[in-house]
Order: sequence, then C-alpha cells, then structure tokens
Amino acid sequence: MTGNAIGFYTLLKREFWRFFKVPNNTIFPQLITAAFFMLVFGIALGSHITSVAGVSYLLFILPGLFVQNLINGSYMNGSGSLFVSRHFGNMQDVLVSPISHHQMVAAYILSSMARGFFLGIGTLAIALLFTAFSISHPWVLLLYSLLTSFLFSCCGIIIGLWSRTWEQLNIFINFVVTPLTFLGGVFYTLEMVPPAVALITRLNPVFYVVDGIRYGMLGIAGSSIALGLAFLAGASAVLYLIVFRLVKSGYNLKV
Amino acid sequence: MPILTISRLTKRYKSGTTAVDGVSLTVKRGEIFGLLGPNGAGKTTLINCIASLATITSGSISVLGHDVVKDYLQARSLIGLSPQDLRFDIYFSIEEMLVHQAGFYGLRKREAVRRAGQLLRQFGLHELRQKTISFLSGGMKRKLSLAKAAIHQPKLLILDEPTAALDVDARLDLWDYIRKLNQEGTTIILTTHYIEEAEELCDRICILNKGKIIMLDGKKKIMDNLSENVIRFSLDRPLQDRGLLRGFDCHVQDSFVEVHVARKEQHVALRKLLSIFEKHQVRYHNFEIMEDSLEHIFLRLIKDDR
Repeated sequence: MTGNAIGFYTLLKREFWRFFKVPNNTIFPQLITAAFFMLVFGIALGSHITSVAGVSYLLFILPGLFVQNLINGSYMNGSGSLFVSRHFGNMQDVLVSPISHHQMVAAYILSSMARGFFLGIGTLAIALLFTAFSISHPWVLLLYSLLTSFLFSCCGIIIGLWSRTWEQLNIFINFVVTPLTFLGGVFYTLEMVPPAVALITRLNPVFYVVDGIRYGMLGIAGSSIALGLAFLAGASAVLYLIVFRLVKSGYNLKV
Repeated sequence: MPILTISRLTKRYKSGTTAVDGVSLTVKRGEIFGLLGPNGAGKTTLINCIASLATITSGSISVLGHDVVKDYLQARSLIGLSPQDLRFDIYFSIEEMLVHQAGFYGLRKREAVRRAGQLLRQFGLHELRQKTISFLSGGMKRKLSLAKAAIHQPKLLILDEPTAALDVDARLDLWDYIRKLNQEGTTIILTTHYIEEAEELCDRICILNKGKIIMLDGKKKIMDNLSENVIRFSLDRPLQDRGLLRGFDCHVQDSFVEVHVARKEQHVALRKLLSIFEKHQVRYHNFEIMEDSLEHIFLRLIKDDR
C-alpha cells in the first residue's frame, strides 16, 4: 500500500469518531433493540421453551443477535458514511488529498468494521445482564466475525456509492439485509420451521454466518465451518476488488 | 519547469457536454494566474480536473512534472483547493475539520493543531473553533474553505471564486492574504467573477469561453493591447462640422465629443485631435481620458466570441 500513513490514519480516525458523534443514531437504537429481543424472546417467550439444540433459547438466539448488530453496524457505517459525505459534498476533502485508493478503501472498511464490532460486543455485554455464557471456540468466532464484518462493510460502501437518494440508501438494508438476517436462523433451527422456510434458510448465506458464529460461541454447528469460512473469505476478496475498482474509477465520486 | 502544465485537456460529461475543449496552458511558479470566463465557460471543470474532482476525457495535467492521474499522490500533495461550492463535514468542529485536513496531507497532530490555530486566528475564526459549520456565516465559511486549502502550505493554491459572499472589508483582507501567500512563494490560480479582483491581483490572465481559451497573456499586455480608452472633450459649443473627425471612432452629442482609441495609440490620437481643433478653431474647456478596464475588455472578448 503506497501513500501517506498519517493521511490514512487520519481518515480512519475521523470515520471511527464520526459514529460516536451521533450515538443516538448509530449506537443506542441497535443495542436497545437487541436488549428488547433478549427480554421478549429470550426471557418472556424463551421461558416456555425448555431448550433448543441443548441450550436455553436465550443462549440460542444470542449469536444471531450478535450477528445482526455486527452486520447492521458494519453495513450502515459504510453506506451512511459514503452517502452522507457525497450528499454534503465533504467527500471532496478526501478526493483531493494524497491518500491512495487502497488506503481510502481500507479506512472506510476498517471504520465500518469498528462500528460493527462495537455493536456486536455491546450486544454480548448486554446479554451478560440476562445470562452467563462462555466462548467455545474463540478463534472461529473471531475469524467469522472479522470476515462477516468485512463483507458487509464492503456491501455498505458499494450501496453508499451507488445510492443517489436516501430512499435508495435504505433499500438494501430494508429489503435485503433485514430479511436475510431474520431468515438466517437467528431465532429458529431448521427443524422448528416448515420445509419451505427451512429450504429458504438453507439458501440464505447469512444462515451459514449465524451457524458459524453459533459454533464459535456455543459449539453448536449444523454446517461445515471450514466451508463457511472459505465462502466468506472468497466473497470478501471479490467485494473488496469491486469496492477498489469503484473508488479508483471515481464512480459517483467524481464528475 | 512550470508548476502546472495542461496539455490538450478535454473534459466531456456523460451528458455529451464538452466543458473543456482541448485546453493547453502552463502556469509559472510564483505567479497569480487568473481564470476568467462567463458562467459555463469551463473554469470550475478545469479546476476540478486539476484537483482530481473530475475525470479527464483526454489530454494530461501535471503539477511540477507529476501527472495528476498516474502520479496522483505526489501531484495532490502539491495542490490546495478552495472550491466554489462550500461543503463541509457536518459532524466535527471547525478546528477538528482543519486538523483532519492537515492530517490528510501528512501533517502530524501537533503541527496540524498549530497550523489550524494559526489560520483560525488569521481569519478571525479562533473563537468559533469549537463550533460546527452550521454556526458560521457565508463569509466565515468562505474563509474556512481558504484555511483548509492553505493548511498544508501547498505549492499551488487554487481558489475558485474565493471572495464570493464576502463584504468589502473581508474581500480586501483576503486580497492581502493572497498577496502574502504569493510573496511567500505560493503559486495561485484564481477564478473570479469580480474582474477588478483579477485586475488587482493577477499577473497573467486566461479567458475561457465555451471550454476554449480565447485569450491568455500577461495582464499588462492585455491591457496595453486590447484597452480601448475614451478621450472625452467638453466643447464650448456644439460641433458644427462632424467631418473634421473623419477617420476617428467617435460619438458626438451636443457639445460633447467622445473618441474611442486604442490605449497604445492614444497619445498620437490626442495630438492629432488637438491639432484639428486648433486649426479649425474648435474651442473646448475641458478634456479627459477615460481608462478602459479589464471588465470592458473581458465583455468585448466574450461578445466577439459569440
């Protein structure tokens, strides 16, 4: 990576602190929502379910809630940051600066991952108020989390570059990310739902992310962990290249 | 080596509009270079191409030999841009904004904070340093934009309409600041709608129209070669024989005679007129020479190019 290291670090730091400037938009809503899921589904409804895959229902849904916030935080930071900078025009500060295309992409991805991890870890911290848990396979959890966050940060950046309106910006989160996470086995096992829903779930890549994270946290897995990691790594590499090409070409950044 | 070399630059937008059409020019180190032209002439597009805010359709631009596309990191590090549209980060204070901008150009935190403080004081914004952009007036935003452009002490400072929205005092202060930067060695490219600003500040002037250069020369040369001064006589009584002034571009109304002459020929013309009036006993009680302005030259050039 060529370019100036201070420039890269400045951009990374600025993007990192940006989401702390507006915590009522970027942090608290997601954490409060996760707390409500734990309270309503985990405690209230979950108390009527003896166990799922050998653990309490609250523990069963916890990896999924972690994934939801990891994905939402990573995606929304990438898309929001790029779109808002383009919308308000201050993206030109970065475009005229001696920061390389790779550095620029890396700074936006890493800051988005930081928000995803902040929300994911925050979700786990809130869970400690409701239940005790330990991490079965920390390295698997870490690898899955890093790749998932990376992947959805790239998705966010692509949508942030593509969107010309606020409505377009929200299309992907409302019609793709949210349905995929809810149909990704966060709240159910394949045995708990009708065959059609089970099939849709099996075709949903987020299911394998949730499954891998669940294995990392609880040691429960329904699919191949190695295959899941390979898929995430491959998809991440492809999306990084797409983001890099878009930024380098000035797609919706330059006139 | 010129600080800026533009060779056969063309910028065509997706809409098909050619905003810059085969422009070639060089900007010498240490000069203040004025870019003038009517709205839509291609000034801002040209600047955006130099500053990496617009893609280039064909041709090339280099800053001290660094191509702005192939060698963009080196080229960008030499340029500071204060754009026409004032757009700022809405999340951070104006001091943080300046510190970030300095960091983008590789200044360490301590130096960035020092430069930010210096510029905020220079532009009278220091007391507002903790405020966000929404607290600043249009004129203050213009000053902040200039501070952002200058924070890394660029070799080439590009100012697109730098005094728009400024009151007269602030404009004069800014002119002083631009001169000071220039005396310290910064080359400046300036676009402006205020022709007197170009007349006051610029060493050379490039007039663009419809994406093409229609005039590029030293300000003095332009003024000397293209100025059309007016010699205005107030006669004691209305001129009876207009044929006396045959061969002159003149306008006669009652006892006033206005003769249009090229600046470089005005002394010869004046002597000839005085001689004619003396010979034919045309009495006058006053005459004055009204100097042409760059603004009038500019307007004539644009009109001729239509």
